[in-house]
Amino acid sequence: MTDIEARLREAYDAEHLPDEVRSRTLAAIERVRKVEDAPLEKSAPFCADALRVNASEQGAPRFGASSPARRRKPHRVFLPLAACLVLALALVGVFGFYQMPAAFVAISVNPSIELTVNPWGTVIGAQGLNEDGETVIAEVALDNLSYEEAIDRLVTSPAFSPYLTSDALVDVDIKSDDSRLGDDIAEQTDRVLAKAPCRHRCHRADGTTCGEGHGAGSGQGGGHHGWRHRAKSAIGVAPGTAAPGFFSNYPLRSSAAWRNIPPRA
Amino acid sequence: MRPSADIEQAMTRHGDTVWRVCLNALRRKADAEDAFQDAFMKYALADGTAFDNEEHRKAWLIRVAVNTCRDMQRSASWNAVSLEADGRADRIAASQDPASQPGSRVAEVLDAMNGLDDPPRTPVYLALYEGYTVPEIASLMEAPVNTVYSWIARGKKTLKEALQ
Repeated sequence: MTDIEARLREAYDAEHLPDEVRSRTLAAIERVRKVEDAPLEKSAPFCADALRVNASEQGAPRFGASSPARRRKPHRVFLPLAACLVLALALVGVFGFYQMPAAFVAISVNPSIELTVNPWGTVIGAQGLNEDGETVIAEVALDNLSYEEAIDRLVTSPAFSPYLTSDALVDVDIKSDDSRLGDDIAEQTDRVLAKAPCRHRCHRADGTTCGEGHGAGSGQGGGHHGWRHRAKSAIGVAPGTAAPGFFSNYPLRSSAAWRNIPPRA
Repeated sequence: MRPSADIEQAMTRHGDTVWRVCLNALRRKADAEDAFQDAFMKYALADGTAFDNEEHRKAWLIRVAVNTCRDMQRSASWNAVSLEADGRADRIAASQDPASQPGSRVAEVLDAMNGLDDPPRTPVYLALYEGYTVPEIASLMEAPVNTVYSWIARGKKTLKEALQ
């Protein structure tokens, strides 16, 4: 036994249950017994029943055996549950917001690809709009990247970069109700495609041409807008007759004609 | 309800222990008396609970006392009173308690114990005075075993520093 234990034992040996506490406790118990033993009266609400419930809740600890758990007060159970529920709802809300499309970007040089961007500028979906596009998308993972990272990865990927020759024109259609997001996407598209050897042209949903330029090493002019051109043909618009922004009237996702454009010969 | 003789016998055998547990946890005698009465009232009313032996009955009483004290400490009224009464005369300070001798080794130890937080005050008492093992204390206090080890180690260290 250490010195501290000995001193503690000495100190607590002197601490006994005071007689008056003992007698008051026994008296209180006897008062409860009298009321319990008395016949039940309608007007005698009594706490003994409540105490009895509490006593049964305590359980009897047996060392080495399982002892019943002490029942927690309702608010101690419900508060954490409510907090978990609120957290779960918040997570569902955030996830729903994350998965909400805020912009669609169609990139066409044949292959044609459509990227779906959420309000935070993250790519949440990518799909090929034709067979070549599907081949590219199968080889380049773009989901959950920021738009700029995604377009950069796409442009530099071995599957897509061979199409970006100096005589190619990359047509980019951006459709978004969020003008700031649309501007950001257009700016990032210009920035990334400026590094590629091809030419590019960027269109917003309102029909404005928001970015147009030659990549490094380009310089050849003109060229038709491959996919756009073929799409116009597919839906019966003669090349060169559509007004600026014509395609903006066609929802990117609902225009089945765009998906069924035959590949460039 | 349990017979009076049973209750008196339990109080004779384990009353000191339950009283010390209550006093250790709550520090004020008036509060300790409330908790003590509550614990024995629950014992009196728990006539459906059978005990294997005297040690089992003692453990049951200690656990009920610990839970009762914990409930009192968590109550809003306890916290309000604690703020007002902290450091006042009704708080047990052994060196001022006439039952102990001022300046004595006993008073010094009790003051050092009262200086500890709870936990580790009650686990230290149960381990060093009542001789319970750490797993047994963990069961009594519904706490993880490793936590109880930490409490006791911390309490012993603080006690040692206070008593040096």
